[in-house]
Amino acid sequence: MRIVVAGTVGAGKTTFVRTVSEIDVVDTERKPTDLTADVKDSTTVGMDFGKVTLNPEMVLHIYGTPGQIRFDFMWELLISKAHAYILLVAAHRPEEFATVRQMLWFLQNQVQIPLILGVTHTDCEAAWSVQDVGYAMGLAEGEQLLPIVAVNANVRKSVINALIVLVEHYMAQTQTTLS
Amino acid sequence: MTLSGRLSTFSLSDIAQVIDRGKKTGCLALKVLPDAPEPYNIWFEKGRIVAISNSPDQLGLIQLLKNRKWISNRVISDLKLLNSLSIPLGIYLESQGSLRPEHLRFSFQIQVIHQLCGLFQFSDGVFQFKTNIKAPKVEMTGFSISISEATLIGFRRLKNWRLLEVKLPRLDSVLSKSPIAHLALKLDPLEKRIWDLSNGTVPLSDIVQYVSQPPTNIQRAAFRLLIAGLVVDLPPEATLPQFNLVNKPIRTVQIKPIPTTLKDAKSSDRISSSFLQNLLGFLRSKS
Repeated sequence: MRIVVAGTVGAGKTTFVRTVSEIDVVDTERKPTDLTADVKDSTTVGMDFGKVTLNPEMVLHIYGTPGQIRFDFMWELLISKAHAYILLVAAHRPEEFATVRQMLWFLQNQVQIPLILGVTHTDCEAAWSVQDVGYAMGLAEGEQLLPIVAVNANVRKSVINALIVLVEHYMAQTQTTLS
Repeated sequence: MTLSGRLSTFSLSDIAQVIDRGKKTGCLALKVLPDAPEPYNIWFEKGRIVAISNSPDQLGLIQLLKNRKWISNRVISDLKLLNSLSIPLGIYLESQGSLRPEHLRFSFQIQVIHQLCGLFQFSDGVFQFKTNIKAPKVEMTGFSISISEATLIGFRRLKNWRLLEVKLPRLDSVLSKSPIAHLALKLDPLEKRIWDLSNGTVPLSDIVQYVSQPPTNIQRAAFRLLIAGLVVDLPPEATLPQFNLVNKPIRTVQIKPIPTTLKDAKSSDRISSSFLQNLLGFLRSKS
């Protein structure tokens, strides 16, 4: 199964993949030369790759996308081959919400595969609540378009919990599609 | 719960949509920059706008009615006693026969719709939304309206677009419908045409050809749909990466699983239910 972790720069994609992967993550981190440098010292320009092995026949592959939207050729490549994806958004940076919402709708236009929203940095100062981040993403009260989950990308249990929600959502979605 | 930020990075439309979707009650204080005399207060009840005022003494609605000569001086003098109003001022005045129904409706249009649309011309400012703050009765007409409806109505009537020209979507913009937009609102024919074509692939320049209208009309109608939260403009085309790799040599890494998987896999291939059940069990055992 292939899962893609998408999101803006600094949302926690690389950390998410590293936290859960059983292998050293193959990353393509480089020193940014644009505004990304204000957020972090290095950023993903290709993709991150990690995996979780259940047994020799059953492996979960996890891919992290680059954060900058200008690398959307890489996004398209990864997303088009994914079974499900999680879109990460940092709760303490409302200035990025509009960009994440664009990403969300861009991705939904590209592929019809199960998606959940992962809200990171919820413990930071001035962080919006998970529910309000959902509203900022264009989701409304009572609308169950996609699950939203708080994620601490540094904590393995939290990342695994997000994966559980994603797999459960995938199962529910594919059952609905089949029926 | 407080929501705060800057208009330059999270627009008035965005914050109003959050309040609308969350059906929140509270006051959005808006201090527009660079030279705002007084902050604007926009009061919401269950996500709908009930009043807007930048009057520091909360006499905005009374002042409006007075300036229009819709209430008499006798009523104005009595208003000193109105601090203890238990119903909105507009409804109270109408029930007393002191304000005509059409003037009450006009006053809401001026107080809320006209002022709201005027606030969109500001590109920067700070906002803070505080929940569970009720609008003062003396600033309320008794009407309420959703942000989407208010902006659609307001911008349709707008004559002078000079200050908003820079905010209009570009002709190479591609719009996509909001996944939760149910189109409960009545659109005008041009808005409806653009809405129908907002499928994430058609740029506005093509829509200009389809509908045979001046590009500016298309851009203004698209702007209304954007502000109302009915559509979103999708990201521009990717540009080539420009990263400084001089100081850090590129590692060459053999990654067998990735190209093999990406090349061979079909996007439509399904995962077996036994795999999913095993995966779920495995993950739960680790959580």
